[in-house]
Amino acid sequence: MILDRRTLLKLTAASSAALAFGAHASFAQAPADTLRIGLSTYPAHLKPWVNVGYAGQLVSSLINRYLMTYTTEGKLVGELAESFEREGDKAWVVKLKDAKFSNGQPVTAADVEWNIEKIKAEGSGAYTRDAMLEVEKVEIVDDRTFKLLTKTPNAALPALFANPFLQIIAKGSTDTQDHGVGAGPFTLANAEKGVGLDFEASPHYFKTGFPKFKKVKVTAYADENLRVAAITAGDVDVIDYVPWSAMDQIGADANLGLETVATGAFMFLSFNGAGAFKDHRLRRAVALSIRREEIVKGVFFGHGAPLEGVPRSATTPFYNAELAKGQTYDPDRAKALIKEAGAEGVTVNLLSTAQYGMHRDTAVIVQGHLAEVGINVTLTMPDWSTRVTMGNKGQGDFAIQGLGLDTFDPDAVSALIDPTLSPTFFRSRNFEVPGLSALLAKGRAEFDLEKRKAIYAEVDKLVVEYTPFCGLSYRATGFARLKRVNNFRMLPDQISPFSGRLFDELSLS
Amino acid sequence: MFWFLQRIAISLALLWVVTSLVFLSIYMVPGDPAELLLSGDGATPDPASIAQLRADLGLDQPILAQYAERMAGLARFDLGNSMVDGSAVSAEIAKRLPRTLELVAAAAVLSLLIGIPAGVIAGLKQGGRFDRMANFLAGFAQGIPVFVAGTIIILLFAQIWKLTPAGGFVAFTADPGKHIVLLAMPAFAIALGLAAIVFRIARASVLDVLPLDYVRTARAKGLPQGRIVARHVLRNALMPVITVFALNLGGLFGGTVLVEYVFNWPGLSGMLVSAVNSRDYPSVTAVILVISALFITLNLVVDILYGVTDPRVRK
Repeated sequence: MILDRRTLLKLTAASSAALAFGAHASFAQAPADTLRIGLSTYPAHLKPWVNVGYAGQLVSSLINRYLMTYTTEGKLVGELAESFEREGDKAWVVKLKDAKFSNGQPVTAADVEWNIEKIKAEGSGAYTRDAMLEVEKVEIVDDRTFKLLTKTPNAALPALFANPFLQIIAKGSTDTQDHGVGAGPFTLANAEKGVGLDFEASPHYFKTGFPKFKKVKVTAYADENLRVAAITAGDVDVIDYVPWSAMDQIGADANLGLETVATGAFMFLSFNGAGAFKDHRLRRAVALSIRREEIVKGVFFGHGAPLEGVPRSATTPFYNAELAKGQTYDPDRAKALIKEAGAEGVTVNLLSTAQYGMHRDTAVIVQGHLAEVGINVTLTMPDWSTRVTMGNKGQGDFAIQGLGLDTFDPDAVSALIDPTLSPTFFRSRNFEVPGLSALLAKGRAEFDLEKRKAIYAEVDKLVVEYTPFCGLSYRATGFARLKRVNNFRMLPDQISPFSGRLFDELSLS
Repeated sequence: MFWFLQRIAISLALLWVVTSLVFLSIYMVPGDPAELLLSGDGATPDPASIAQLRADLGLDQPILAQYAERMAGLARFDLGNSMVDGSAVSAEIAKRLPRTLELVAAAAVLSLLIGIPAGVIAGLKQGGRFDRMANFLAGFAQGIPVFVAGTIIILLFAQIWKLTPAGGFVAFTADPGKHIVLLAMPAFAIALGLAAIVFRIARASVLDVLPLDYVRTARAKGLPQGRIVARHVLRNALMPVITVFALNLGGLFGGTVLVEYVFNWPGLSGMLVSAVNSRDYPSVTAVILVISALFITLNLVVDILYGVTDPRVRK
């Protein structure tokens, strides 16, 4: 056979097509026993009890479990705890389920006590340390029963143990590895910093029949466009933090499922009372000057919802429809308040960051809206690290913030609305709201539901009137999944970014 | 001999200057690693925890003491430990540096493989269809930012045609085929700009060489066109190409910063960006030190080679 030019071209074309088909077939194959997760950020570390952000918490929830958790309807239920019952005003009796850590050891009262003591230790860096200091003592009744004795009556304690950064790990296990030994559905098999992590199913997981697959492979995709490309190409089964700009595209893709909760984490303004915002009328005027729908459309591509009051889930009894609209746009009232405060033409500095689009764009919209009512805003937008430091130092007259809630207890918003708490970059400071701290303390100590509801309604009224917190908008929490991933469920509302806690019940077809 | 020692001493001094500048500048930029590490998505770290962590990281020491400690460490070839997770920075660099070098090397080879043949053909057929088309494409390749090129490559190959993964990294030992595919995409994105430069220089050089006497003589002798191009045109036209290529090689390192991010290639640049964001001082200084050392060593080698080949330089 003579190899002429035409034959050579035909052979080249045929072999290219075969190679391309082969490459497609080989790369597109999804392993049947492995869940592949495309994660937005590689966790800085996996140390228990420290806040490592949403992505870090997702990874942590693969290897850890909690005493309490939430259902998809927002109901607080036991996870490792079989029951969590009040005994008098200052004691709670907790009975543990017959659960095991991933090393096969049973989860005991002594393990829980050790976790609490480690969290309470000075300089522990634990996210829930302040709240945990309320627990005066742990009294062990038997291997699976203990009492939590609190310094003051504390109705928020059961919810505290559902906090996504309050993992229960085996006693002493942090001595051998930073992340300890958890009671989660998987164990960490391998990790390459900045690249990815591999997990294997724990044979000792307490939920019979779960997990439904043997392995989890987590790959970090810091670039959100690449994360979307990875799920579109079928490289991964699930991605977190779906960018709002890509939600419509993913929703329209027949191969993918888009899971969203519109009222997820939220954007808000905090105020520094060291300057013009000492006057609560000016703070309230700011709250009444913002057309929140424009933030939802302009920043989150319509995937979110306006936030016009204290962020409370409608699934809880503490949601009050009227007060939830307490900061609705009312420019005439805003102008009147500015005049009353003698602040016409005032210039204030808004602290934000250029590093994250949602912070930057929200700041620009707020600046425009406030200009319409006669408040001049200058913007300071350094990188995120600098912005945190500036915020902690109390720089800027007010600041753009973005956060979610850890639990649905009404006390969970205290950290955002009480300006008298320790100064930090995400909270208002340098002013007081008359009666707010006392009301919050009263709410924490009240066990009667109806009385508690009344107290937090009062709290929300004070927030509307004195504006230590100015809601801007909710941003939708979004996960995308390949259609082969089944039983994907999400936690509701503000705790939806922590939906990785439900990944133990996923299955692959 | 004195000249050679002088060059080495200058290179070492340069390294010290770069390290000191990086150390001081990162400390001058606001942002506290301890605060960031404990803040997560908006946590309120208690002051005692921050103080404890600052002490653990040595950040409570005066800046001069920290500087002296860092320099002493570097003199012992100890790059320190990451402030984020306590892992040895040298181990992380040892893992990531070869990946970045591999990416740069692949991009360099690709740019030569594309640029030289295209430049030679365009020069030989000046004004022809190929020349006009190649010139247009070269202008496009030079103008397109590296991250746009990367995004288009991902869109076409991974998302539309579904021929390749969208990005990422697989070790060569684990899956050679996948490793090469994953390497080829970012390497091509970086190579585009340099290939356009190589193409232009090669084309211009060929055009310069073609009318020269020795080419005319070769033609007059009746040598076949292929032999004239290979032995007389290409050899002489390649000198300026190599010079420009070498000068632009350093720029490829810059290209890796964005490309590693876009393609999720876990090299040195990604480590640097992440370290700057978390104010991980030891990692930042170590990565910049390593990159600077590479540049300075390359320059030193070139200097010495010049000195060896042309003794006048040493005077």
